Amino acid sequence: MDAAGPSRAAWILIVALSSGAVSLILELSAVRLLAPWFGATSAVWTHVIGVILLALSCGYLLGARLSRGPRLLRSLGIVLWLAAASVAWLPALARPAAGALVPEGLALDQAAGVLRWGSLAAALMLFAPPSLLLGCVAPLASEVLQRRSGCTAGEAGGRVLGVSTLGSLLGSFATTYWLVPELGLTRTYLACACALGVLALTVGLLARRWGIESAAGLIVAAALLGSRWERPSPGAGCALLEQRESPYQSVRVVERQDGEVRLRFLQVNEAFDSFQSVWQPEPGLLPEGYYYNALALPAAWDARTQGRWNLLVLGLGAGSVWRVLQGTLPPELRLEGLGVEIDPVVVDCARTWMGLTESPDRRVVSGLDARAVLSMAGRFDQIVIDAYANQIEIPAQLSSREFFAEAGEHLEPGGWISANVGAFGLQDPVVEALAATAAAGLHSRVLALRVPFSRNVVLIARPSGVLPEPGSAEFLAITPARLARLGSQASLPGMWRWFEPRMEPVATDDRNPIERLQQASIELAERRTRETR
Amino acid sequence: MIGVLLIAVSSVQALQRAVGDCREGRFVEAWAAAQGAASPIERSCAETYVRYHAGDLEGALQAAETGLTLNPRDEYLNPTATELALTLRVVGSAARHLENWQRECPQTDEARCTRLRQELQGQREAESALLAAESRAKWGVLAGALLGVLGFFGLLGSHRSTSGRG
Repeated sequence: MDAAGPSRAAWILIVALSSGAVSLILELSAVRLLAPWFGATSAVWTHVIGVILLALSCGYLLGARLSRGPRLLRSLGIVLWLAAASVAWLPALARPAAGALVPEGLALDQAAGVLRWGSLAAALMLFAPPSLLLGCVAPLASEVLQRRSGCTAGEAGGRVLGVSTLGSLLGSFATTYWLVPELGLTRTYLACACALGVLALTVGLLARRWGIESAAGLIVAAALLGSRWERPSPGAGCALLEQRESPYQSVRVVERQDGEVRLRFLQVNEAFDSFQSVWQPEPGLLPEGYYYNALALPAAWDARTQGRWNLLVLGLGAGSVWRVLQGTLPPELRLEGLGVEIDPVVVDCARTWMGLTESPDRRVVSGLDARAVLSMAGRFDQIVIDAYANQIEIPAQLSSREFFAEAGEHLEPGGWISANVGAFGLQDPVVEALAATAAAGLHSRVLALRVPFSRNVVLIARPSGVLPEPGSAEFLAITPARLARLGSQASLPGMWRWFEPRMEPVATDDRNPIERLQQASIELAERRTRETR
Repeated sequence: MIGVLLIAVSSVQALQRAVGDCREGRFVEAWAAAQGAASPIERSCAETYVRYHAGDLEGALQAAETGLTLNPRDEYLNPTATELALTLRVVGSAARHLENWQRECPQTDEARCTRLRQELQGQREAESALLAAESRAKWGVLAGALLGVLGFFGLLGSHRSTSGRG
C-alpha cells in the first residue's frame, strides 16, 4: 500500500461529494423532465425514485466488483466519463423516449396504461443508466482511499458516505432553489455532465491512462452542442406564444382560432388534451364546453345587482374565472377579491398574454399554497376552488373535510363555494369523494353539475342559504341569456346530482386516498371505452 | 342539419316543439316535449336530439342506442349514434353503428358515410398506436426490472463466492 498525499485523498472525497450531489439532482429533476408527458403525480415520483434506488443498489454492487481490480483510478475515471455522457444526453433523449410511450393527441380517458407503465418505462430508460454509474463511485472511491491511505475499510467507507450524503444534501437544495428555476433543465443536466467530466479528467490525469475516456469525453462535448430538451408540440393549429420553466412546472401559452373566436390557453405539464386557463379578447362567457362559465352561476342565482361581489379564487391560473365573472356580473355590481396562484411564472405569463390585471380591490397572491392563504383570508361572497391541476393532480390538502370546513368559515352569510373537478361523469369516484367530502366539511348539501360538452363537473354549495333546485324557476331565470342556456342544459336528468352531508367516502387531512381515486377514475373511463370494442 | 333531418323523419308536433325549444336554448321545455312524443321510437329520437344539443353526449348516445333497438333502420339515429360514438372515442360502438347504417339504410348520404368511415379509420389507427405504446412500456418495464434484479443478485453472488475463496 502506498501512502496517499492529503491532496489525493481530498480529490477522491470531492469525487464522492459530487457524485452524491448529481444523484440527488437527477432524482429531483427527473419528474420535471417527465412531467410534460406523465404529470407529476405521486405515482410518477414513486416510479422515478424506485428506478433510481434499484439502479443505485446495482451500481454499489458493480462498484464493489470493480474495486477488486488492480487499476482503481482508471475504473473510477471510466465510470465518471460514462456517467457524464449519460447525464449530458438526458435532455435530448427525453422526448424520443417519452414520445415512444405516449402517442400524440392522447385523451385523458385513454391514458391509464400510459400513465402507469409509460412513466415507469421512461424512468428506466432515462435514469437507470446514469444512476447505475453514479452508484459505482462510492465503493471505488472507498477502495482507493483505503488502499492509498492504509485506513480501515470502515473508516474509508464512512468518510466517503459522509461526504457523498453531504453532496446529496447540497444537490437537493440547489435543484429546487437554483438549478432548475434559474438554469432550466437542459443547462442543469449539462452542468452536471461538465462537473462529472472535469472530475473524470482529473482522475484520468492521476491514472495517466486514456482510451475509452477519450471517446466518452467526445460524447460529453457533443452533448454540449446538441443535447436540448424539447417538450411535446402544442398541437395542430396552435401557435406557441411563450414557454417557461418555473420552480413548480413547465408553463406555456398557446393560441388558436376556435371558429370565430381567438383563444389563448395556459398549459402546464401538458401532454394530454387539457389546459389550465383560457383567454378570449373580450371578458365574459367563453364558448360552450368551458367550465369557467358554470362558475358564474352562483352570482347569477344570488341576483345581487349592485355593490360588490367579493370573490376568492384558489388556483387563479391566468385569471379566467375573473374575466368570465367580470363580463357577466351586472354593470353596477363590482368584482373584488383575491386570487391565489402558487406559481409566480403562471401569473407573469398571464399578465403578458392573458390580460391579468390587478387593482387595490382585486389582488393576486402568488408563491404561496392556497390552504395557507385561506387561513389568513377574510370573508367572501364566493370561493372558487380551481386548483385541481391537470385534472389528474388534486392536492390532498385542498380536498379534505378540514379544508372545506375552513373554506366554509370564510364565507359571508349566504355565500357560495364552488369547485371544478375534471372527471368522467357524476358516478366518477373522484367526484363522489370530493362532493361527499365537501358536503361533510360544509355541513351542507352539494350540487354536482356536469358541464355540457366537456368532461368537467362543477360542485356548488351554499352552507347558509338556499341552493336552487335544477330545472326550477330560480335556477333558470338568470341573466345573461347564455348563462340561462347553461342552466337549462345542466337541468336535464343525468346532468346533476345532489350529495348529502352523510355520504361516503369522506377524505380527511389524516387519510386522503385522492391519488388512488384519480387513477381509479381514469382506469374506469378507459375500461368503459374498451368494453364496447 | 340534424334538426331538419329529424323534422323530415317525423311530423309529430312534440318533436318539432323539442327541436324549436332547443334552438331557443330552452332545454327543460324541449325535454318535456320529448317525453310527450307519440311513440317510443320518436321519443328516443327526440331525447337523442335534446341531449346532443344540451351537451350530454353520453346520454345522447345511450338514447340513440335505445332507439336503434326499437328500429335498427332509423335514418337519423344510425349516423347520429356513429358520430356520437366517434366524438366519445368509443371505437367499437362507432364501427357497429356505421356498419348497421350501411347495411340497413342503403340509400345513405354517401358523403357523410365516407367522412365517418375515414374518421373511424383514423381512430382505429390511433388506438393501435396506443396499444403498441402500452405494450412497449410493459415489456420495457419487465425487461428493465428483470435485468436489474438479475444484475443485483448476480453481483451479490459474485461477491460472496470471492469472499468464500478469500
